[in-house]
Amino acid sequence: VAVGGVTDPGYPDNWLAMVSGTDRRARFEALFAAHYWAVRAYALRRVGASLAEDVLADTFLVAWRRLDHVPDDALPWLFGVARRVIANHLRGERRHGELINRLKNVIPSSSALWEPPISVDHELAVVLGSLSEREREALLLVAWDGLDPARAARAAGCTAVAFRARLHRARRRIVALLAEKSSGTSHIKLKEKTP
Amino acid sequence: MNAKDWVVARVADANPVAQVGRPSSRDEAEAERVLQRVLDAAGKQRSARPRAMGFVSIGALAASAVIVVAVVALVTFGHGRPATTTPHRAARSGSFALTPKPPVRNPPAINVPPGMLVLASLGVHHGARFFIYGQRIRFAGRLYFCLFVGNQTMGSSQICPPWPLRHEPTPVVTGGFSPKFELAAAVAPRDETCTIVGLPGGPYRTSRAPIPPALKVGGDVYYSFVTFPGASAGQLQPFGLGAGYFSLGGNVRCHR
Repeated sequence: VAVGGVTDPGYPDNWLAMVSGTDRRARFEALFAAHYWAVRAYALRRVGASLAEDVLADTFLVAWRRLDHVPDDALPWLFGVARRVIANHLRGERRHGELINRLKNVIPSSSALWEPPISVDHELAVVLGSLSEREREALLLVAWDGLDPARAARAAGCTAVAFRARLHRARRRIVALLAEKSSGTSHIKLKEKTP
Repeated sequence: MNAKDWVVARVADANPVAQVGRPSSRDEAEAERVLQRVLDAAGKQRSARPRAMGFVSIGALAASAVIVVAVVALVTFGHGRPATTTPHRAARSGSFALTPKPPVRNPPAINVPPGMLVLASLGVHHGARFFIYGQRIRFAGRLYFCLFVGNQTMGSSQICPPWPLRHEPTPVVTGGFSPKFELAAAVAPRDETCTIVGLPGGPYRTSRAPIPPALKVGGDVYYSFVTFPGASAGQLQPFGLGAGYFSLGGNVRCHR
């Protein structure tokens, strides 16, 4: 490797990788510093402030454990981890809710409309809520998290082709729903906002 | 804009957490808390690893068995042995494992330029040749080195290889510095005349080549550079194109 006109024959080409691999904690902290705010925003958009900190801690704990497997483009990977962490949290909460309902001998509501964790325009929330979970996530990864479809597909854990299909379906459905709504024939179920 | 693009734009407009501005001190405190939580949890997991425990107990069991056998053998057969047999082999090999670790110095809180303070904290004194590998980033009021810093005496034409970093424990600097170090962080544009804080000489010049972004933190991009030895006018190159005697990207100040 020639440096400043000086050549050292014993100098390996992969020296940076060798040195980079020497300190796990430093690597993790660099990853954390580089992506913390983006992952935080991702979590806030989906679960709100009350759960975001737990989601972040769990997500980065997974990153710490699997540090050697984190790809160079780490952000979609981290979004994917955060997505699964959120799903686990929500599953736990749902189970808890179902248990309470069963104890109260109340039939649980099967509608399970999506509720935005933080303030989103009501009309949009209803429209987004009418999408399937996958379609909604595809749309939000692009519109809110600013990922291009290729990176968003990695975050969603599917192929680029499948992702494009989901995104296409989501957009087509929203256009149709909004058109129906504007013509006054909407049959979207509006969920009453809880105070 | 077609209807489909309009949908994405409409949803994007309603983004409830748009990334604008710098995070507040409260947000940064939250980030610190999360980081500490993760590191604590990681530390706990590592210390409570069941596999390691298994090895320890198996090892302890094996050692006990060896000691018992040795004592029995000594009691049974030991009387006939000549007293001149040298029993030092075990003690000698044990001494190899007792090589003391070099002390790691704490960063001194003194009024010196940030760059020199960093170096002094690593035991690199004024006038000494040194090298720093890796990027530095500022996060949550702290300055972090991603990698290692080392020092050694080098000839003017020598390139410092990474080998010593592998063989000698080198101080790892992650955090713990004064928030003053935030001043050291700067974004250096291309082909600009610069000075380097804490480094006499210069003026230096940033690379004309595209400078790869090192890390983006809270909207700021931080770079690392490498200077080449022997360049009287000084030359800064993007870190990674080569290795020099030091990289002080965070300490670059540029003048137009």
